[in-house]
Amino acid sequence: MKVYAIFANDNTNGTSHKLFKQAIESLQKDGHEVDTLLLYDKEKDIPFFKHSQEEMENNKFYLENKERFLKADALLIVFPLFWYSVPAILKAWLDMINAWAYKYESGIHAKPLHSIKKALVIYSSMQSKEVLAKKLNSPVENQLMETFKFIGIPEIEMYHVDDVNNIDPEKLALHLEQITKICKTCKDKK
Amino acid sequence: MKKFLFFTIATIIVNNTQVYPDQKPQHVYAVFANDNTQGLSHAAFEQAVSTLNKKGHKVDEMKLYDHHKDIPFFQHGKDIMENNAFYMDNQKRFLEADTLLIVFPMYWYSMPAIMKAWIDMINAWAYKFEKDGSIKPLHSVKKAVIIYTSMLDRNSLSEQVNHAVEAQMLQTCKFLSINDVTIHHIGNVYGQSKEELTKHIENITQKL
Repeated sequence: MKVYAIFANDNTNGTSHKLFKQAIESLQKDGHEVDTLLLYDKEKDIPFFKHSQEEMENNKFYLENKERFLKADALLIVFPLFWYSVPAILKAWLDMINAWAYKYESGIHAKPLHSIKKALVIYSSMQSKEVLAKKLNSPVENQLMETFKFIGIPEIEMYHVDDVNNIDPEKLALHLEQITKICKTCKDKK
Repeated sequence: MKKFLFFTIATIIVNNTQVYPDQKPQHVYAVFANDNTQGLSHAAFEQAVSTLNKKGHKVDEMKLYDHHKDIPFFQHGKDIMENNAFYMDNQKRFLEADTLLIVFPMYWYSMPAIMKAWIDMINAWAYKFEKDGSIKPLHSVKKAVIIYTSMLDRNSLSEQVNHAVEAQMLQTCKFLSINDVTIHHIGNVYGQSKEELTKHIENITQKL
């Protein structure tokens, strides 16, 4: 598969980057073609969404990202949880897909204008799963799941690494192993 | 019809039944996150600001899109953030406030990125961790009023995402020790008449 791999953290020494690296290596090992985008490398170029399509299409990053998105048939998205949601830079990336990724006709989901069949989302958080899932009902997962469903991505997989401030090498190794397994579920079902 | 209206507009009030129970003049930092200044969210913002001004509160308005080229994405390097003029200006204005008014349209089941960038920015100076792990607020904001609009009605939002954006905003405020939070949701914005929407905004601003 052609995987568009997005990473949304300026810290490239932390856990989330290790998760991203592991996923990329696993996907490449399994023969997938991976196009990597480290959003913070482009932080000065990424625009906030505006309603004027003309204005958006005058932005170089917007056009380049659109081309890369439309070439992909899988997405890998890795980020740390910021304030119970995605970092703003990732939200800017999501807001950008508004104008060209789908066509709304009727019902609760739109008709996809892209070829993405699978989204693999990996995120880390300081909070425990108990707090995020049981007490708050995982708002970020609901948000992303519904976004991807709306634009017609049929298969969405989420992997959450919690309690990152207390992660030890053993726990990290287990997570990395798990990520390798999840990446193996990326298969072209054509 | 009553049921329909129940699902299209809702108010969630945490802790208090009124935003300004004592009606002492407040210093309100009013933040708006939409580049469209002809739509419903802007009308709600303008009316809320006007009501607050009329009631004698001091309102500091921040239209985020006026600064869209200057607003940085959060970075862990404090030096980098503190070199940003918008970051410093916003920090000063936030720290002067005792009330927040936040108005935005829902984008992708959450807030617009520019709003999230504003929230991510408060990370470095709005609170500190104490030795026992508790949070100490470093700001004076006691109340937050959040108004957001969505194309989806309340029922659909509940079924599809369990009001993710409300959970995100409430929890963020709670973490920062802003315990008096009121969230107003104006849903189904394209399914209502102008008169109905105007009435809804009036209902919200009357409570300010």
